[in-house]
Amino acid sequence: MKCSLCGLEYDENAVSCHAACPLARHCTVVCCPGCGYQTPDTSKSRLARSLRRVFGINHAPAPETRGHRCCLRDLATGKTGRVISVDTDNEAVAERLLIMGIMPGCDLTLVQRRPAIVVRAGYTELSLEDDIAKAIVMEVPA
Amino acid sequence: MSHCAGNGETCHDDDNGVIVLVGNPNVGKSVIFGALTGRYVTVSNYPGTTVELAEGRLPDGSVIVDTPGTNTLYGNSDDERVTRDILLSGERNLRAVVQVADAKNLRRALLLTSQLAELKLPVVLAINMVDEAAAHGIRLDSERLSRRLGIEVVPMVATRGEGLDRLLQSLQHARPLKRLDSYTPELESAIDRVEMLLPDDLPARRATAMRLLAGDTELAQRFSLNGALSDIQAEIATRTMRPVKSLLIEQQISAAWRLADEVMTIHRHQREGIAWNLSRWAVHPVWGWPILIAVLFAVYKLVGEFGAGTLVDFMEGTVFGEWINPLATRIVDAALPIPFIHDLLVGDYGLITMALTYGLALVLPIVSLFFIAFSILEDSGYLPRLAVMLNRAFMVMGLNGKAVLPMVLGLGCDTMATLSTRMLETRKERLLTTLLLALGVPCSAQLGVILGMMSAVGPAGAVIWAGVIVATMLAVGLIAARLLPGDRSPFILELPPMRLPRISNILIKTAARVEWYLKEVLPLFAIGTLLLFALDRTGALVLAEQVASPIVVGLLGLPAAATGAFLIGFLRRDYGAAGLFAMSLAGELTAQQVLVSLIVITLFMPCIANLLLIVKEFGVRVAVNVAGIVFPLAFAVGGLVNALLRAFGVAF
Repeated sequence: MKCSLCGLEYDENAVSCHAACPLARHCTVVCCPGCGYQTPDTSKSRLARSLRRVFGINHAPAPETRGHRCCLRDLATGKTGRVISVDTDNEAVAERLLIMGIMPGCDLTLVQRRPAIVVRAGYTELSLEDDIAKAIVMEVPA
Repeated sequence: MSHCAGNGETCHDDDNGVIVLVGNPNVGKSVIFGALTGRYVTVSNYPGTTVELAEGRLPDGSVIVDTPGTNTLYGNSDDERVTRDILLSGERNLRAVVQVADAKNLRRALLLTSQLAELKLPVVLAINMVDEAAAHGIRLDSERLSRRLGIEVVPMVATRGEGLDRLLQSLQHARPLKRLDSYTPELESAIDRVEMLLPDDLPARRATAMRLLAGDTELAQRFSLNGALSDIQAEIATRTMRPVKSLLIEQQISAAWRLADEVMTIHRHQREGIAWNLSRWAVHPVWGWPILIAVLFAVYKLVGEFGAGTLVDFMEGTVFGEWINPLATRIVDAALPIPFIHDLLVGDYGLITMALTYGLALVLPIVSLFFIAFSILEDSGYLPRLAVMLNRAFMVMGLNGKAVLPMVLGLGCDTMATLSTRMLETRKERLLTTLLLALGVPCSAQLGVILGMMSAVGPAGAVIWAGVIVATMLAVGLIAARLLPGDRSPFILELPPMRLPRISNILIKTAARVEWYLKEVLPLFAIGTLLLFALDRTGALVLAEQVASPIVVGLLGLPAAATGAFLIGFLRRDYGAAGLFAMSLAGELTAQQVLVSLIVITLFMPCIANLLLIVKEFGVRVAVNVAGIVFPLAFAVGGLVNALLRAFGVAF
């Protein structure tokens, strides 16, 4: 996290205010170790998390999704990845995806997650339901 | 339901050879068909506009057939079988196939091309929307593509008529395609083996064999091949661990993609423009809702306030009320001073004073404006985005978001929409959608009248009306989804690009729909009026009012005269609504009564044509069941709302 007052970059999980404070367990604000400026930690607030979901904004992608595999549903919005495989038992789904140009080797961009998942494959925009997006395994470039 | 251009000519005059238009959904086949034949078929910016074959004639007299859009020749939905039959059966004397492709989606188009190649029919490839592709920075080398495929390739912008002449000329030089795929040896030998099982005189044997391998059980039964075929399929599936259909399509796709990449150069990546931003906002989890409400509000302003208010006042009050009806009365009385004729033409249930006045003064102005609004929505590409926004609500009803399209089409015409449920993949979804269409989706004519009556109950009444209708549909959908056997098909929907609608297309489309309304709806209005007239003359109307009195007066709390409106509502619910609208304009209904009658008439079956179509598509039993659910439910919900309004003393 970067402090908006003094610009110091710090790790919000290791700030000293939490280590010392008796109320830290449910605290959703952090203090900058440099200047003491208080900033809300949006990843800790339940309300902020649900609002993020509504707006379709992700947390910073977890480190294991960088250069690694994850399913399309877990891709960060706005990110592009390469399809590795489509793991579905439903032949009809596999075939429709194939025809729409979603097959191993092609690039997909996740445009949004809600109210329904929207992806872009080349010049085609598609809306998919969650279960299908879960079945598409992607590789995200580092 | 194929239609023919020209008078008295039969459609199956195939001596000149038939030309078939095929292509992916939403690539502009209908536009090209219209431009070539001068015949209008519905053109919209969403997939699934054509659900049946449309036939017309080229300037030289040969027959041209427009097929529903399809991404593969191996599809198994009802509309895809229609295309299969015309291409494979050899019943029609096919002269050429014109494949229409979207220049932006060449890869997908070439998959279809590679399947067409197996038919060995002469083909011309029309590459449409090259202007949009150019705007995206895509350039196509159509000459190179032409050399590689061995056929004529015609770049076009069909909506502007560019390339049409070249397309017509190139029909003379249509040639069979060069095959682009090389299949793996095991697939080739399987195709050969199936081909050996087929009769020698069959045209397109190889293509038929491939379709059979891809799993067309209906066709397999026709050739009584089920056993032998599934042996071959199982053999490949065990050897390759993949179903044959996927193998086939995968190999075709990779060939198609290689070719597409070879002839396509993307020389710059377009900065994402207004259309892209609009598209994102329209499905945005937050901004999508205000946009949806704004769209509905704009439609209400145009249709409900301007159409049902200003225009109807003018048409009914001035044009019919002051000029036509008094004039007609004077002419009838002067020319044929017989009371029976007077009553038949200009009486309370007169053909002029009731049927024409309702049809032309009450409903026509409203539906014309609604048609305009709806055409704009269609052409802008907003409707599929509406499907995305509403997907979750539809999941509750056991439907896939794709069912939104027939539902939204239902706002135009429920009968057409019931026909378009063919694009849904499972029978369960088709039945559910048909039921919900019949129950709660008001068609344009009716919606217009409803929006007009809304002014009597105000915004609060409008919210109650919408809430009751939506709740009824949700409840019925929820219950029916549990009771009906079968699955919901997974939701994969393509979103066509947002486009600025072309004024010319909107006007043409509106004109075509107004013509439909005048031709098909007005006669039904006349029949309904005659029926009421006969009932009135014979005294049966009074009897019916007495019989229905416990329901209409007791349960719904409406005046007995509303019985007539409900009676004709059985023929067309918009005509019934028009009757209620007339009563409301005349001050015979209180605001609560307007609301209750609105709810009942909205939940009625759309029209007699819709019922007949359900009989045709699903059989008498289903139609009787649908009607048996819809009508009692309409009165029950109306009665419930009436009781609640009274109990809580709601006033407007």
